[in-house]
Amino acid sequence: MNCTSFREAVHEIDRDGLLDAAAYDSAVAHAQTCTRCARLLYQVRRLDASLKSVSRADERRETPYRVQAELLRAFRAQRPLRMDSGRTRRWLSAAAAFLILAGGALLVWRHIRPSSPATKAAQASAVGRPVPAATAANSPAAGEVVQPESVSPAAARSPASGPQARVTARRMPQTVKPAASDLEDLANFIPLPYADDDSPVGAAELVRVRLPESALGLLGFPVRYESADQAITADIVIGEDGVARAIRFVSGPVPSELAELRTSIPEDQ
Amino acid sequence: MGLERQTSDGDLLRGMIAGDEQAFTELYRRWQGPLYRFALQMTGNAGLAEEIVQEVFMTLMRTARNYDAARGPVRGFLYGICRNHVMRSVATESPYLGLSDPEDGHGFAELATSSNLLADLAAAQTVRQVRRAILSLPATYREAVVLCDLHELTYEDAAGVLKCPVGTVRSRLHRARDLLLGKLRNLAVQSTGVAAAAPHGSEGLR
Repeated sequence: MNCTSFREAVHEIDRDGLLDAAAYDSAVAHAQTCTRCARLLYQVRRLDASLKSVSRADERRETPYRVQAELLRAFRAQRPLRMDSGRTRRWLSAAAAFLILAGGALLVWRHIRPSSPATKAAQASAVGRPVPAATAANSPAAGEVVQPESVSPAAARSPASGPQARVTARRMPQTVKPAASDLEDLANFIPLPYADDDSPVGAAELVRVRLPESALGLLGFPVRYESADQAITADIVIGEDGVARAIRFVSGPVPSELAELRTSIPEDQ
Repeated sequence: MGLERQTSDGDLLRGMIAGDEQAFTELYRRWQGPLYRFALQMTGNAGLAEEIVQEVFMTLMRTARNYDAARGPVRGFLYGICRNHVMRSVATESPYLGLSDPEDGHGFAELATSSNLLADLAAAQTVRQVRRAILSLPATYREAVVLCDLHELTYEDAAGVLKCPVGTVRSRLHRARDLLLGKLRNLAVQSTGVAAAAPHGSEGLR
């Protein structure tokens, strides 16, 4: 080792693991033969000792307690916010999950509801409608549910427009003026005598039924004795509350008394 | 539940993130001293060092989640935060910047002429001189000496704190120690001159 390489290594001679054994031995051997490098090594070792003295002199220096107190206050002030934000996130997650589940359940319910005869039967029986054929086919007074349909009264179309078509019910604000075609369709419906006209129909359903004319008596209409056994096909509007609101006769003899009861909607509505 | 020393810094940090005040307190007590000394040795100002330590732990409250154990120990993370605050303060407030001169007193041949200089460094007055010499170093050399010599960090750990290669730490440390030797030689020469001029002699640096 020469003086130049010794000076490059002198600060690492006493640092553990920085010089391998061969380099260390070579540096020490050079210092034993070179007075200048020996003096440099001595000075460096004194520098190390003095730096350790500085380190020892400072080792008890610490921050005053007030710094810790201030930091603890800051930590306590932050902690509730952090916990609250976590709690809020959990609540929001739960609410979002609930909304998703509720939305999914609503979609499923809306999908299966029109095809459920049991539901229709329950609603029909609640308002005196004819029960489905599947449950009362042998009853002479029983009607037959031909095809359920989900429509709003204003959107109800003629029979030709398709009982096959499933129309999404449309909520009509009371102040909206119906279209002319809607008025014409509405004119074909006869409000049922006991229906509450003041309550909103909402998302109504249109159910096509086939029933004897005698069953009209259950709906509050007059029944003609001579044609009481004749079958009638009719569309019944069922409100969102499950109450039948109006009836439209599709086929069969319409009693003249009933024709007089047809709704006439003024032009200014 | 007591948090003994064997609780790792990583566990304390995780507890602190979870809102555990005891973990935060233990982490503070464990590291406020070294960080305060680092800031003090870098700035030479006790008040500023206190502010820096406070800022370090305030920063820790905000950024503890950024700690990545794969990048190194918590100690390096804390020193890194502290170093950032120190360097910011040094750049704006250090009264010692005007004293630093990297080329001052460099030369081993001249150093050899005052071989008695280091014999007196153990004295308390000499400790103050060494501290002052450290403070007069440029900040990049100063932090290398403070971290590797005063705080005994390995080159690797210091490189993690300084965010530079190990070789850079090594070369900076060598340069810093050479500068320290030169500055201390000058101080010894000045003290020797004053001692020689004193009428009754004195215990000056020899």
